[in-house]
Amino acid sequence: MALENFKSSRPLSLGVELELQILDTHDYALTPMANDLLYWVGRHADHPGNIVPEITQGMIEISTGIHSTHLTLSAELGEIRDFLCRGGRELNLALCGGGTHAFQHWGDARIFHKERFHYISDVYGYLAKQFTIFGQHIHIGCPSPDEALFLLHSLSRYIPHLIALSGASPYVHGHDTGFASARLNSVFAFPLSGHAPMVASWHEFGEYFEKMTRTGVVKSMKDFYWDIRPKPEFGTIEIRVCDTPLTVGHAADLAAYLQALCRYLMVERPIVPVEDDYLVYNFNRFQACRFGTEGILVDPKTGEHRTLREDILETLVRIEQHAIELDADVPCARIKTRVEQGTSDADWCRARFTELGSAPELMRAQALRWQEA
Amino acid sequence: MNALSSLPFEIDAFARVALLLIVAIASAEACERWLRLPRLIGYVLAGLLLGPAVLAWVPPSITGDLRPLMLLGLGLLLFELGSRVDLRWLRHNPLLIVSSLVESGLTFGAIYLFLGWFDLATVTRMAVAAIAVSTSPAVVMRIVAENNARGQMTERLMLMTALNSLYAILLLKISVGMAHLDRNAGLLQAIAHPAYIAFGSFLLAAALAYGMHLARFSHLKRESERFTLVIAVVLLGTTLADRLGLSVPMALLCGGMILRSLSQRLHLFPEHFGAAGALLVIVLFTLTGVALDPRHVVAGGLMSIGLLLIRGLAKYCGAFVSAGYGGLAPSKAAWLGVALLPMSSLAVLQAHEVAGLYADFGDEILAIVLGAVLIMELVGPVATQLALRRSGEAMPTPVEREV
Repeated sequence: MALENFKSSRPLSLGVELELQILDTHDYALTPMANDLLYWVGRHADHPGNIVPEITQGMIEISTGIHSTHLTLSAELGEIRDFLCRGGRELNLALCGGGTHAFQHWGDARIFHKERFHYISDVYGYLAKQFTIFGQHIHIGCPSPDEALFLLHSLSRYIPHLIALSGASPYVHGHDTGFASARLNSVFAFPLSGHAPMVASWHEFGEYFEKMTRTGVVKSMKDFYWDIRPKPEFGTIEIRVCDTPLTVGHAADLAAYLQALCRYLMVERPIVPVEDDYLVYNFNRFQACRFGTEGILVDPKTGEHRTLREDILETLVRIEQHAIELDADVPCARIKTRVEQGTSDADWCRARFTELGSAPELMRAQALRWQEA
Repeated sequence: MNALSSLPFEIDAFARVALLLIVAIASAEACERWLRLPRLIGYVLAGLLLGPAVLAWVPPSITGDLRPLMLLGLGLLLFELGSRVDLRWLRHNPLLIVSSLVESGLTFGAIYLFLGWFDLATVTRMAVAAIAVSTSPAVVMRIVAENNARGQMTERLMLMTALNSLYAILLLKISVGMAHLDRNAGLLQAIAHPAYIAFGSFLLAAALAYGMHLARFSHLKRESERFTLVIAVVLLGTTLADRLGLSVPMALLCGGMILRSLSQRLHLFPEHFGAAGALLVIVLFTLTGVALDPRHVVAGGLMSIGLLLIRGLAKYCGAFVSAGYGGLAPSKAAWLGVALLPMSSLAVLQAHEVAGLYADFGDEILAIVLGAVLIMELVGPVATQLALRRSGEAMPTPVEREV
């Protein structure tokens, strides 16, 4: 299969996908009720957003339409959340955010009955079930494929920002992993994860894709589990490193921060992406997963070390004008407050776990938090 | 003569229980491995085989000796079922109440009419119809646990089982009240007695649940200690309900439900409250098997079989009410009707309760109900398991969590 043509889209348009957890209200374990919830959704014709199954039965994915500003995006996310929460009440299930389920064992996951999911399960074995993790994907519209690749590589330096700001998965199998985002460790186990090849033009990218399909390793773009992936049929790049936040409000704020950052990169063009940018990519990514905003960020050019907190705060100053242009200054101010005060979703999870004393109680708290604005 | 009595040493009570348990486990294993039947069937078959009906290696008196254990096992399952039912769900999805009322009403009405073909007293018809309304809480809880089932149908199965068991208990008390009326007792007594039982059982349940809640029960870290407390509460509930002339099953079911709705915090119990609870459940089903007597099918005859067919049909129709707008896929609603079939210890308990009160029409009730229970004891668990598996809610490879 050849690479599709890259469809042009409005620059900096926004779309968000969130993978959500479906919980049993009895013990707050993941419950295989995706098909029950989808049946309920199917009976409500004019429901907001798009609601589809994910790889295992305890997950569901929601996605928004295309938005130009944070304002309408967060409104739609709120509507989808309210709609699904109503479904949850009628079906006696709960929904919540967070990147991992705190005590789910991978062996208990059930693959959703759909051809592609069974294929993935056959190829990757337990990795597929371990992929019962919950992420936020943000799409950014790009006018041309070359612009998309420019943005994709320029953003690589900022990937740790998004990981640190969204990290909401400290617990796996009932234990504190010490990570802000343990979810990404599951993604990293896939052989085709990591980052896209350093090519600057869509033509070169097409050659790379052709070579990969010839090896038989990949069939479509979907087989790449990269942190940032071009999505030619939408005309976007898709940033896939964020954990699903604990509230839709924070999910919309993250999208706004990314949008302002992209505007800064596209308009001011402060970076010319080069291969060497990726020297420290995995190190920086690990630091963000492990320590959140306390992690170290290494500059690949100067070799300078600084904390992610410092780097995010400095970036917020640099992109301020772009945020104002996009009506994203209020969400960026909220992100600034979070970073300054050192509050994150991962810390919130740890605090609730300590206060309530058990992983099921933490999941119940997460479900209550999800219903809030 | 009895094969065991020719042995050179005396087989005492302990040895008989040991034998019963070993055969129960072996036959459960055989059922699951080779016949792909629920393990529960194995327990019942072991009891039936060793009991007076077939080999007579275990004397019928064993059911009397071990009755406290049996009642405790049933009590635990009732309490467990109650604690799985969230009454707040009914508020958000009122069609569930409608569905449950239709299912139970249809069962009661259809069976009452059906029994009109036979020469039976009105009170007998009412009592049998009332008993048939309930789905066996014990069988449902056990089969759900065995299959590690989760999903919308499983949730509704537990909810509707809890509700129809409550209706069955109430309807039976009302039938008994009617019997009082028949015997020219005062109208007041006929109404007051069921009302006393309903409100009394509810108040007792509330007191027990509130007590557990106040004792900050869920904060106990050790599972073994929480289990011990649950046993104590079930024992207390059983004995108090009994002494006060209330309904034991109602008190325990309501106790679990009230505990669930009292507190926002989780009251997490392991399945059947852990390994010790599971032992009681095995004892319960094995002894149920011992008490089965194939002659009941003969005595109950056509009436028992007809009752089961009509009951099945009524439950099947009732389950469909919550399909569609109620949020249940029609394919799952069809299986829900099948899953609601089991009839077991609660029905036996109720039949004996009425029979004990009224010797004259008690025998008829016993014959019909016990005949039906005998068949359902073997068909019911299979039906529920089939429904859970076909609806895709059973975990494909069950994980043993009891140990």
